[in-house]
Amino acid sequence: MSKLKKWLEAKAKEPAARYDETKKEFEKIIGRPEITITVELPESLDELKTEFLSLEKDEKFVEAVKKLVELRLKKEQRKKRQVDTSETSKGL
Amino acid sequence: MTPETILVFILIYVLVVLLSATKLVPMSVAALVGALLTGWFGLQYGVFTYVDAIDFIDIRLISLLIGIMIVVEVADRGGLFRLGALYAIKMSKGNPRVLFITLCIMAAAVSMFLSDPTAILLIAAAAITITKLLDYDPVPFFLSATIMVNLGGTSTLIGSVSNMIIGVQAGLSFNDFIGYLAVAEIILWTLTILVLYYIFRSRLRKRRMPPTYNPWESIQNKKLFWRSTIVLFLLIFLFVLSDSLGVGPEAVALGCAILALAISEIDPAEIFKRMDWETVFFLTGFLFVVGGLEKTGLLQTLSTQLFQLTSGSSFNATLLVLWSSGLASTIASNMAVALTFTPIVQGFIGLNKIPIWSALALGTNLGGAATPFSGSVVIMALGAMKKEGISLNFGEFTKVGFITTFIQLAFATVYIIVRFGI
Repeated sequence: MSKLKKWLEAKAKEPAARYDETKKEFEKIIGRPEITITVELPESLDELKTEFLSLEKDEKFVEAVKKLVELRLKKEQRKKRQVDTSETSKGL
Repeated sequence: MTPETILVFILIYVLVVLLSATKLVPMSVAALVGALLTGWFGLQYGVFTYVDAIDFIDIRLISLLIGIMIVVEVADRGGLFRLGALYAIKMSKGNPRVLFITLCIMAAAVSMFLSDPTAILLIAAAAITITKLLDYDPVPFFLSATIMVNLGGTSTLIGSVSNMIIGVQAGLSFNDFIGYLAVAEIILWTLTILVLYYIFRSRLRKRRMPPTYNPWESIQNKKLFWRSTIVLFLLIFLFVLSDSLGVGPEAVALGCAILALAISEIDPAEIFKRMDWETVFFLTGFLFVVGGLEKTGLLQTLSTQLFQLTSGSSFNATLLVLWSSGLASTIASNMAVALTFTPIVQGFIGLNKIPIWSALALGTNLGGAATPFSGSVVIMALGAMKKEGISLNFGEFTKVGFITTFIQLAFATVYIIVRFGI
């Protein structure tokens, strides 16, 4: 039975890009949306190509980017609230 | 014809069935290699001529399949099926039991149009997104969706490739399928959902509120949405009218496919790229393999022997076809089963073939999700589960698959007997 299971797991091919694409569409509407940003290797740092490419899988780096996104959005949120408050007080 | 010659063709057939069932090589490659060997040996041994060989490929069947694929692919790009799935989730209001039922219904409904692998990817993506968000156990949703996707479309000519094979080769129209099998499909949906609900009921607890959203937000291009939806409904409307129009379903499908490509404003290359060519090439190759086997006279002999085995009784022949095609489809591709059984059933001279064709349609459709090996829909669902880190419970899938398949085949037996009075 376990051999059959192993064989089957090997055959259960990763679903095509279509699955990710569809999932992303659903997440945009009902789930937590995701964004994908393409960043080019900065000019003059060509000798760090390997280090640059490894950033994609560097957990610490990904965490730092997530933190940056959070800070940026919080700043946006504060700005938005300030505008809303000033508009309400003007209205009064 | 010498026994050695017949043996060569049997070996080619067995090789293709085994290779495609075990997925050792892609199904299409297995069937095309089989076609090549059939062509080579057939011409060498003088089993058929070059002109005979060209006739093996049923152009009407391939045209119907490609036409449907194009129309449905455009409708999918328009967002119709995604919109349906989003409404199914919204209607549940976070109630896991209602969500379970609406997703099951949606899975079967979309698979009436989309190919099974495409339908399961859509429903799996919807199921994983909502179950992750609401922290529900995803397994009941995944397994049930797989079984319902396999079941959906049993009663329509375009619901599955095996139905297209039976329809085109037996000369059954869209209306014939609906007339003979629609009631069976409605009852099968209800019965299967009840069984699945009973199996998973203890895992569908704790209601959580889903986010509020507007499903229409998912439609990015309203013009494409409406145009593609209209073409899809036009396709169904013309299928219904095709008997009185005097045109075959393949002409309707190709006509609507051309219309869809012309008015969708999508680059046709994009549509062609996403079509399920694996199925098209498998079908083409396997038609050739079965065509060669037929020329040896083996299928005719098999048909005569089976006819004698059933003592020339419609009742025995129908039940034999239902259960043997159902059980064969639990292991081999249901397309291969349909292509093999079609010439055998055609050889049952003097019997009322309508119940037998209906039994073949039910058998080939119902056997497709009995075990994790049964078909591409299961492989796709398991692949999606693996990707999402959901542990694959081999035993659980087999248990649920076998229970539902057995109940479905048992119901189909009763239905066929009552519906056709055999």
